[in-house]
Amino acid sequence: MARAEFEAVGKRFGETVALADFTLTADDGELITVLGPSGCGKSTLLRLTAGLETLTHGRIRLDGQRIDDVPPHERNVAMVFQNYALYPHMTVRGNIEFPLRMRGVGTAERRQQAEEVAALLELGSLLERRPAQLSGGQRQRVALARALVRHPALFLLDEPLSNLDARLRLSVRQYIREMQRRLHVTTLYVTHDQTEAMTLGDRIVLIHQGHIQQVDTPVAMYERPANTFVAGFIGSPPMNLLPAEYAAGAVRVGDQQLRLSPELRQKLGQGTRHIHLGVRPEAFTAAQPPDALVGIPAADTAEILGSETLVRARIGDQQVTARLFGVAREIPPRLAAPLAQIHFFDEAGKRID
Amino acid sequence: MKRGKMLLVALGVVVAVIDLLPLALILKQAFTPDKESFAWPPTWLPHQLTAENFRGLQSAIRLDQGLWLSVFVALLTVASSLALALPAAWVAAQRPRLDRPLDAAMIVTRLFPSIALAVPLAALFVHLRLYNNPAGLGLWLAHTLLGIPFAFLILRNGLRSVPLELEEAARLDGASALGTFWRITLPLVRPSLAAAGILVFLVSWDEFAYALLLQVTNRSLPPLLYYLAAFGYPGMASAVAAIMLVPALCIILVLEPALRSGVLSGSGR
Repeated sequence: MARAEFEAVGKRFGETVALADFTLTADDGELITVLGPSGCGKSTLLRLTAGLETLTHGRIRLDGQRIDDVPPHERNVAMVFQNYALYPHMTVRGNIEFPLRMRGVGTAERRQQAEEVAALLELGSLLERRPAQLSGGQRQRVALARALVRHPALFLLDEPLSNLDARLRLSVRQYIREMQRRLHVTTLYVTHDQTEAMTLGDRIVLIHQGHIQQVDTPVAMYERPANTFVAGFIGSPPMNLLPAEYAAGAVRVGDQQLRLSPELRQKLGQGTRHIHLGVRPEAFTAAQPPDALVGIPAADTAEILGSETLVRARIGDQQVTARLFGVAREIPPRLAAPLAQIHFFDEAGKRID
Repeated sequence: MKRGKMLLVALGVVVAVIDLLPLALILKQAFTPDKESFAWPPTWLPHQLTAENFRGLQSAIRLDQGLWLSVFVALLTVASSLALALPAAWVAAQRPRLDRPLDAAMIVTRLFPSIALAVPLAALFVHLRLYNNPAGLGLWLAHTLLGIPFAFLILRNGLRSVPLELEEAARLDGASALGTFWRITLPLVRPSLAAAGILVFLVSWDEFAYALLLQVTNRSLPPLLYYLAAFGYPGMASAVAAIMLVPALCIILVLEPALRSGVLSGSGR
């Protein structure tokens, strides 16, 4: 359907920078999840794209055509609001037909198109109800239907699952993904939930304080976080980040010393540097590989969750979380994370490899 | 819990009795001869029922004209107050910063006693042919001045309760600013419109000072009632009061369903 390009898009509210130099290209039919803590600027991005806010600088293009200087309804962009924003005084049919009516589509055609979308979203039997008579999941689908009925080139979703209970969330998540694939509509999906971002997105854009931290596929973002913020944000429980000292080709954490590969040594240079090591909780094993960071589990800290067991361990004077597969009835006396699975970040938190 | 509920019911009954007692007294005096109204000690239940007080009204005060004038002025006042207050309230609802100056401006109009304002207003209206106007147009203008602050404050709060997202969604769906207001915002503030309408109607309906001083030969009901009471006809005065209750009850009954219709439920979550 369409390719969306963001070119150094920025938004300031007075002195506050809500979004800084946001540059991204969403390919035709791609689902991009926009992830970040609350207040990071991700909702601002959607509102700028929809035309509810004006850009301070930058360009937004849809299929090569500039849309940031066009009024909202001429942008061919549809948005689903976090709280759905259904028109309470209209029936489900009235809600779905509204965008068509505002575009001067005739009665018969309006009816037909609304019923088509309603059937797609399994709302056929609810058309004459009012929003107040619907469950949360049904309201959600009405909001999706109202946005999809006019076949937008770009689809914006603002935290669409945040008002649903946990059980419903899982099924609606899959539902949205299937729908989006089937319709092949380019989508920006805003969320603060990394699980949603990982499972839904073709790619993830992670934003922090208005700045893009990394744009990558979910797997790449998990395996190669660009900085300590991404490392700490993606993954649950988060990656352990340990301050360490680099000197003479080796890093020291507490009383442990690890010799680094020639490549890493070259990157880190000669002198002494304070760096950060990143270790995923699942990198720890009971096996004892030769080059490894060793943690000593603290007594009685195991949290058995069934499919996994979380263990607190100490490396020097720092505490880390390790994650063992399944129910670990006996905690091994030593847990080791092999050097190959350790991430390195420089003083400023940037990835080194 | 149960005890607390009983106490609440008892309190409700007491309040209802206090509220309804004057009403009962009005109806009793309206339907009994004057000598029963003046009787001492007072009798609570009517001894002799009569429609005489109502029959005498037409010749005594030309009831039909007074009734017509009161209804006409009140309905016009509702229409004009809502029409003028609504756009102002819409703008004000989006600008909370203006609340303090606007509230102050609205209260200022109530600081001057209307009995004092009525005299210069009457002098002004003489030149504009609005004084003692046969259709009560001068009275209508004066009542509109009284009605606007009430309508404004109620409508502003009502408009503010409409979620911003609904208006934004309508804009994305292709509605113009005016279209959004007409199709989305206005239907959602129906309860506030009804509340403002009822209140403004009642403000005009029993307004006395302007009605006394701006109309001379062609008077609305409140001053007529006053004359009957002042000149010693409690029965006929009560009959007017009873008549005045009817349209007030009607408008409340007509608009009450709109007041209750929680139209905003269901937009979110």
